[in-house]
Amino acid sequence: MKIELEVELTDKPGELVKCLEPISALGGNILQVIHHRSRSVGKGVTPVSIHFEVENIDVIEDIKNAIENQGVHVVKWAQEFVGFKHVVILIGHVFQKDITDTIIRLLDSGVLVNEVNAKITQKEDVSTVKLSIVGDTEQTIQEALNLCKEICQEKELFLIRS
Amino acid sequence: MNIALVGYGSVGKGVAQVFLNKRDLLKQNFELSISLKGIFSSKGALIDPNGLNLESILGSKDLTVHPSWHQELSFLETIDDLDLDLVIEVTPTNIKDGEPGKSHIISSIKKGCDVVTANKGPLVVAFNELSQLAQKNESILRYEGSVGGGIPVFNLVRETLQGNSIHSLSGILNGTSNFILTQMTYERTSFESALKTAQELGYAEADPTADVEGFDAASKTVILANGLFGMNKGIDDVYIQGITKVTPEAIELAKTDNFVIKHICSIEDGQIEVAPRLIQKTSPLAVDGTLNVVSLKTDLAKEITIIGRGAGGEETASAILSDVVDIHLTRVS
Ligand SMILES: NC(=O)c1ccc[n+]([C@@H]2O[C@H](COP(=O)([O-])OP(=O)(O)OC[C@H]3O[C@@H](n4cnc5c(N)ncnc54)[C@H](OP(=O)(O)O)[C@@H]3O)[C@@H](O)[C@H]2O)c1
Repeated sequence: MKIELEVELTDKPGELVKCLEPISALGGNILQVIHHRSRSVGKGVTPVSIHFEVENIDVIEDIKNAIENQGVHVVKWAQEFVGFKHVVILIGHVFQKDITDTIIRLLDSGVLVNEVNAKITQKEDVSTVKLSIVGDTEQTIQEALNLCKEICQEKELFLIRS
Repeated sequence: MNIALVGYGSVGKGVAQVFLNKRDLLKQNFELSISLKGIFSSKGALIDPNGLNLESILGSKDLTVHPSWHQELSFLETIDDLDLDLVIEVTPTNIKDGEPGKSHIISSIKKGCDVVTANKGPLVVAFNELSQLAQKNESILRYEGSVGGGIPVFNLVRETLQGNSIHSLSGILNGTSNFILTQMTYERTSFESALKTAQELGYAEADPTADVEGFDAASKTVILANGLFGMNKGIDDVYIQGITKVTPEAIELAKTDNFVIKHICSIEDGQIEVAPRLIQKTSPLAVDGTLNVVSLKTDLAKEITIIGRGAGGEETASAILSDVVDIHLTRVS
């Protein structure tokens, strides 16, 4: 999950560290730090955006609390849930072997199939279909990938996974 | 060190050439002087109990007209008479029963010789049997050249990652299939046409089955599983998918998500697999052409990736030479 956090920091040494340290300590991966100097709010206070991502969504509350406990004023907290994305490509009679059934079975396993791309060749009616699968955890994705392998064996499709 | 070279194809010739080219270096740096007592092919052998003259052998096109040639003399018939310290086994790979290499290695070990091989066959069908036999006879069995040609995988782990636990491994271990997939990626061609180009350029054999169906890569992965992970696996334990069904459309669709399709060997959680996989373009595994790559995940050093040439007479001879030197240094210490 990606998070954008905006804080107001006084221009003193060590202020930024107060925010970054709890993020790193709790396993967050800092992606970008932007100082909005043009939006400085006087008295040496600058808004700063910090973009980071975490693998484990359970730590988000802890990170927020830890930053606030340092006395930092959190102005904005935006969470973008992208989840864990994997891509699979199926080759063969993907449509003839009921692609709707394939997708529904994957959805039933608890993942989201959020993109379907297909290319069809005239030759032997072979189609190549790319599915983007998104899940909350690495484990749900793994389970969906295993299910995908089973479906492909059953429907005699060739599977390429990420 | 008295050595016999069993097999004189591209690897055997590479070894002979490297022994000649590196003669002074081996003496100076390691006090190693090599005396090649015999060179064997399927038709006979060159034998000289005083050590063969490599200049004259490498200079002659046809071994059978060389003064030291003995028609139809086999290694197994000769081994007792040669007073050997070490045998280099580089006959053709046969993953059905490992022969003739397996018998060559067993006889050598039983005679108390150390063995260096690049032949996958015996290691795939009888890895543990050969390792145990070597241990029992206090002989050293080394096989760096059998996986990844010139890339040092086993030696890297043994010599430089002592104390690390290896969690998993992934890599590309077949240059032919990698060349074909690379060709399909950049030239947007079909599998069939990329294979034809590979054959024309000499990267693929007339019968490409072992390469494109993944059996060669699977054999190497089995050797890695047994040699690095202490498993006891055979080729039947590998989930194998070749690259013949990969369509140009699949490669195009992969590109839209910044993936390339690569024929990946993996060992993870006890599972051994060889299959086409979607790999991020920026991944260290995404090497092109005929290159091979091995990436290890270890507990202390974390991820380590080595890239290099997975085949070639001189490249494989490099791996064989490093095994020979290492055995020499072990024996003298
Ligand atoms: N080529 C590579 O780049 C490479 C890389 C890594 C590992 N390897 C492995 O290294 C080994 C050798 O490869 P290569 O490319 O050199 O093969 P190759 O060119 O086919 O040469 C094989 C040699 O073995 C000889 N031979 C066959 N049966 C024999 C027997 N019963 N006794 C003695 N010699 C026998 C052949 O004799 P004739 O000349 O009479 O046919 C030939 O000289 C193979 O196991 C291969 O898988 C090769």
